[in-house]
Amino acid sequence: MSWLDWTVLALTQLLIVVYGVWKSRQDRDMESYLRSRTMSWFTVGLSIMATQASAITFLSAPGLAYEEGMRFVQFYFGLPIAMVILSAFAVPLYYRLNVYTAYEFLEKRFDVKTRTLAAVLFLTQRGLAAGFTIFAPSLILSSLLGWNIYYTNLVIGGIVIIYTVTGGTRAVARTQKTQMAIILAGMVLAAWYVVKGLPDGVGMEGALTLAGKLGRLETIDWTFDLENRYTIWSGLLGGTFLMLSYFGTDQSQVQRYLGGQSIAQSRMGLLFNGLLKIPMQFAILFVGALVFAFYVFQAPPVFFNKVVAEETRQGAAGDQFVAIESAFAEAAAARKAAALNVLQQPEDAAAVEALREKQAAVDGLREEAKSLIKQGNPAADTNDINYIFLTYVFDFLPAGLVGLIISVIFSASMSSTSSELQALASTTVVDVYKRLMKPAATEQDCYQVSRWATVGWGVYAIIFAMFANRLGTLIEAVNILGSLVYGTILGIFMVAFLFKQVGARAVFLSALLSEVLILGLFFYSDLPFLWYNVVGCVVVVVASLVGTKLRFW
Amino acid sequence: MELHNPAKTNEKAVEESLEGMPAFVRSWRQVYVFLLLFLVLLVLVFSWFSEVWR
Repeated sequence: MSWLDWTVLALTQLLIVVYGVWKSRQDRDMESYLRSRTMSWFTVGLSIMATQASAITFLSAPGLAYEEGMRFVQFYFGLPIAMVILSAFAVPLYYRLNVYTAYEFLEKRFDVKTRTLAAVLFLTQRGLAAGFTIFAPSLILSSLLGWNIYYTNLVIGGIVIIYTVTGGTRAVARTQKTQMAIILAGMVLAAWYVVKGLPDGVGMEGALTLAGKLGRLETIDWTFDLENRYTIWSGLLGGTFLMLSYFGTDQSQVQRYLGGQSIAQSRMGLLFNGLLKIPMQFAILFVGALVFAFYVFQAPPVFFNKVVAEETRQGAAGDQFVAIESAFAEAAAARKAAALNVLQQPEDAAAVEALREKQAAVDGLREEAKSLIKQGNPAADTNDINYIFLTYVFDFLPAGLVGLIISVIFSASMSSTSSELQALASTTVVDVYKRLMKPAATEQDCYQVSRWATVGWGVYAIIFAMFANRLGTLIEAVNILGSLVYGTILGIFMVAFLFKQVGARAVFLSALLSEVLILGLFFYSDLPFLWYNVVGCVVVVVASLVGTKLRFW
Repeated sequence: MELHNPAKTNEKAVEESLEGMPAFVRSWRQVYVFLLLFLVLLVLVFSWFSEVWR
């Protein structure tokens, strides 16, 4: 990175943190630190979006569009539906009960046992997830730039801890607003530069023609296929449940919209997210499709993770890998010639068919390279999707803009982590410290403990991020851990909202049963872990209802 | 006989308040329907977009 990139990175990050902390310098009590009902719908909406969009969103999505097209956008189709349901039912309820955390509602509806169970499940899962939010971009940046991953973890985690502890909820929301502005500016500039970098005479229309003919602009898949991860049906059905669970029961999101000035402002913030999220995700994927068109004219590497590619080159199968790279370069050149032919006669079916054949050859060689990498090192990660966009950034963007894109990644990582730390601190203080350990604690006690809890969870997240580097499989373990508890929490909330006849004892025992069953599935079955979410939710709801009906619980 | 409860009425009014919304919006239900129609519109636009460049 040049001195200009370092300057842009340092200035943007400094600006974000100083602005957020300065604007919230008056917040010195528990109410303003943990909830701060002062935010407009615009701040709430941007804060919700910034919390959901982690660094991986901006690294993975363009890579996904490059590799498979834009069908990933369907994953978000359930989001507007979930926003409507939560605005209509959850927001007024949380306001009416005047809660700090989503889990307080469970005590009012059931009892303290159920509240504590849900809070502990959340703390377990979200604590590790916060570490992963820091670790994932650090890993990619250290791999591409040769940065020390420990220092990267420390810088990202350290800055977040400083402004979250100093300014609380309002600082988090205000920094997220600035972070979103940096993120959007960076992505728009990157898209503009991709188009600018295309050969003379190609332009946006040529890029769209090529990306479209090669399937990179496919968005909607109407087939009903359970094996296919992204279809309109999985987006509408599965996506609605997932978003209801995430936005309705995860404190990192609930805390965002409880910070609204009023019910109306909180609702508008949620609906603003429902309105903008899909177009924003479409735009990020669109950048990936443009990068794909760009690489039709600039031969791409056969494998985008340069460190892994170099290890393979130096390994036992190095000669074979170099041979594949050479064949890949020839196939990419043939694809470029076919692409230029298509641009001259886009309606010529034979020309389009020839281009698709050349693309198939390029794809085939990429798969061969991945197989070879796996043969040489079975532990190597052959998924290089996260590296595609950043490889383009480092190889082709001018000085200054590279710094801005790194700032985008830092901002996205920090905006998610700050919400997670705040949610962990508020749950620790409200649901554990004040409720179970020191009910007589004053507001000032709670404010001080909240700040220490934020530091504690931040340090915990950084330590996890440090260890995650050594234990590669731990990343998958975090996702599995989330699935081990998310279904049960959603089930508890669904019973609370929908089935008034179910009492505390029934839902608590059903939640325990659900966790035992999920752990049984985890240890003794081959069921893919994403299904644990569905199983957990269904078991809690059905067992509560049946147990209540039969007076079994 | 059901007695009028001012606290309950006030709570309902707060929950239904459209503070900050443009004047032509009459209820939250209208906003929800608009958002769901917007989702349908997006699906149709995306389908058309893919079809045009296929």
